[in-house]
Amino acid sequence: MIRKGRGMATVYYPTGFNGGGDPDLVSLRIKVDGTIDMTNASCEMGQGFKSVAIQMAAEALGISESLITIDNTNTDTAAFSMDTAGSRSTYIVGLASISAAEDLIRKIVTFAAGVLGVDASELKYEAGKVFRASDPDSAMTLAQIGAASTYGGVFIIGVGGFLPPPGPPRDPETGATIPSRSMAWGSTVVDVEVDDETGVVEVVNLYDCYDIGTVINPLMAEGQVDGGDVQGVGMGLFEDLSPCFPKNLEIYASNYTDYIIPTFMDIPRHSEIEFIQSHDPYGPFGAKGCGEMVANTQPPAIVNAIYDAVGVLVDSLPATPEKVLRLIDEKRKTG
Amino acid sequence: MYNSVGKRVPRYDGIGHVTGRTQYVSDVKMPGMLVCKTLRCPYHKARIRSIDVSEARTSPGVYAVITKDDVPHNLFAMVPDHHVLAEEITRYRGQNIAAVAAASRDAALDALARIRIEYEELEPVIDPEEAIKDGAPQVRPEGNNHLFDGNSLTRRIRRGNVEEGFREADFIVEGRYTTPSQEHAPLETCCTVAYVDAPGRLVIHSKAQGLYFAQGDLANVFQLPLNRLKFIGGTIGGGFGGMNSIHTDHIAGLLALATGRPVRFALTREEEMLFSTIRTPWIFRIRDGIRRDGVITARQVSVLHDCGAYTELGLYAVEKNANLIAGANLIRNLEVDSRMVYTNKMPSGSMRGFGVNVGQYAEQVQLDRLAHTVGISPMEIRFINAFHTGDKNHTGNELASVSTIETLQKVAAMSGQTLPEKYLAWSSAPLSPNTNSGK
Repeated sequence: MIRKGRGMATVYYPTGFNGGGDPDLVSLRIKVDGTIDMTNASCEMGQGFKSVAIQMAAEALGISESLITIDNTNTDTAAFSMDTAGSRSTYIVGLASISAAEDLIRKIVTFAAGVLGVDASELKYEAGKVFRASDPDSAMTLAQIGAASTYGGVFIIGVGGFLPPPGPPRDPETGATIPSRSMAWGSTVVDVEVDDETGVVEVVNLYDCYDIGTVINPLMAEGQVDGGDVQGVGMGLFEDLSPCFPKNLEIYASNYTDYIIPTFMDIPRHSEIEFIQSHDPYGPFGAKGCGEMVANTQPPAIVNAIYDAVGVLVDSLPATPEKVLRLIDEKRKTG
Repeated sequence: MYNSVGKRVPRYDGIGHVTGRTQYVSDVKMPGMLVCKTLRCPYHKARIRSIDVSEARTSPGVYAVITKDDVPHNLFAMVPDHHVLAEEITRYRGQNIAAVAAASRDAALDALARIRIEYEELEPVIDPEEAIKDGAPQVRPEGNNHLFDGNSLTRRIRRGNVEEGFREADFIVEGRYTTPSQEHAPLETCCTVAYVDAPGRLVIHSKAQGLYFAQGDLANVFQLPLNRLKFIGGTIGGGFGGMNSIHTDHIAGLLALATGRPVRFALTREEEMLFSTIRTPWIFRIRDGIRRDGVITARQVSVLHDCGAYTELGLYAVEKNANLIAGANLIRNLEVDSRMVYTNKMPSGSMRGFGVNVGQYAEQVQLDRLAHTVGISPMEIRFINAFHTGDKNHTGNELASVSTIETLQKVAAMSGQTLPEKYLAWSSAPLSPNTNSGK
């Protein structure tokens, strides 16, 4: 018989490396035609890093993201990145981008002041233009500055970095420390159907609500959550490299026949995503880390939903049909 | 308010991915490129009594065969205790012992078969709960237990007074939870192409999630200054944390240096699953005291992390886990004791949720148990114990911009649940004595 159940989970997740102290650098170089080369060596592995990094640099410079390209391709030309891990890239690269943009604007204004023969303090930068505050028509565009500086033998490159403040040394007795100044939050509700004759669990509805601060790019963030839902279902229901652990390790799964990851047939029939757009006081434009937390709420929510459906508590992941069925049998026997 | 921030900008390089124009490491081909294959230990633990690669070296099509003696500095990883190529005692099945660079895959495999090696199989320890016992087979010379701060078996968190908290409780609830070994399962398996460029620098096309991270680590292995070692990458076919550990860059680099030719070292799917780092197992015990009104009055957590054979990222995972294991609940009386133990298995890598989500599974299932025990709903217990902005979490981390309550309100609405009026009126704003439950 198919039994329906609902479960939920609530978590929070730190942004950046545990204890901080993980810097990133960004450079922004103006080219002859006023377009901008951004560099930072964070890795694009599907999460949307490049898009999000460009949007934050574009925002800080007040220009269209279509004017910016990004080089993250190698350790000779791309500015230093500590790592692409710990839900850190949006946050730390974003703050480094803001710092690099401020530096670039300062240098552009200084250069334009020389060209225009005025004091830099008389000039304003806004949306890709430098102009005399008293005379907005006197503007130099980025294209004019790119050409005038390059062909004038002046190299204009904005550089910046950000170091999340290192936490105090952990107290060995109490564990007191500061893992991260910024925390993301989230809750998930899951509806499952459990077949009490086979132990098979199907995720029917999945509702995610996450606070990742300001959402820099909703398309990329939703993609992260969709991927998180799939990985969360995998961790909750399927994935186990050594199902006989610790008794036996010989049957280590070495292929996708023995190691089951979700396919399109296993993803929730219906899922919804909402973001609470809080403003993180430390993050770039109020953003927090997103990447990892959005794969974390699903496994406990699924296990709690199984309990709601058939009254058995799966205390070891994953909740395979065999485990669920054994627990149901045990429950029947003990009444 | 913003121009670019908040916009649904399409993926910067998405068209390249879906039209096959994106070049991943696995796509890199170079003239004269050699193929690398490695000899892996077939036992969970063994002593290498002797190894003779002389016949393999003269095998047709072979350009180089290397063992530990050919590695300038044979230690790598975030905590650099992992051997690039096995020393006398191997620690896990699949550990690399020797590597071959040859003109073809067949020539490389043929050369591996010509390596003469004499093993003495040793007794391994696989189960972390066995490995912590006195007299267990030793995984590493320093012992199986990690000593925190150089002297403590446990990584502690202490807050308030748990004995008082348990006295205040109406119910005590205990649970034990375990999580398994998991594979990252990226589309692209680990792959490296390494070569020596015109000025004589070692260049590595890498799948690393952190190019500079890998560069710093391997500069030490190769004993090269950073201006003689270049990493290329930055767009990879999935990582999920797996590419924070080095699986192929070190050996391909050594073989490129040894041969002067481009060397490609790509793991098959089987190798990826059997021999790359994984999310290793965890065991959690949680003992809670809870009042009839749903307030958690005390919590004791003990954690055992099975780190596998080398530290890799296991220690980092334990630290992060300990800081967050008590969950998104304000718990005034708390004791956490975490342990990390080495076993003869694949080392602990990072994986999305890294040390945290495993604990969140245990904690969130335990939280529902508490709710069932006192007869309140899963929603209620989360509202009642939620953090508020300005609270300090369990390590004393002051919390800014908290929103547990708001995410609960929203997810309830999304899933069509009607919350009691009082919970709809709550917020995560800093608590004053007159708001919320006044706990």
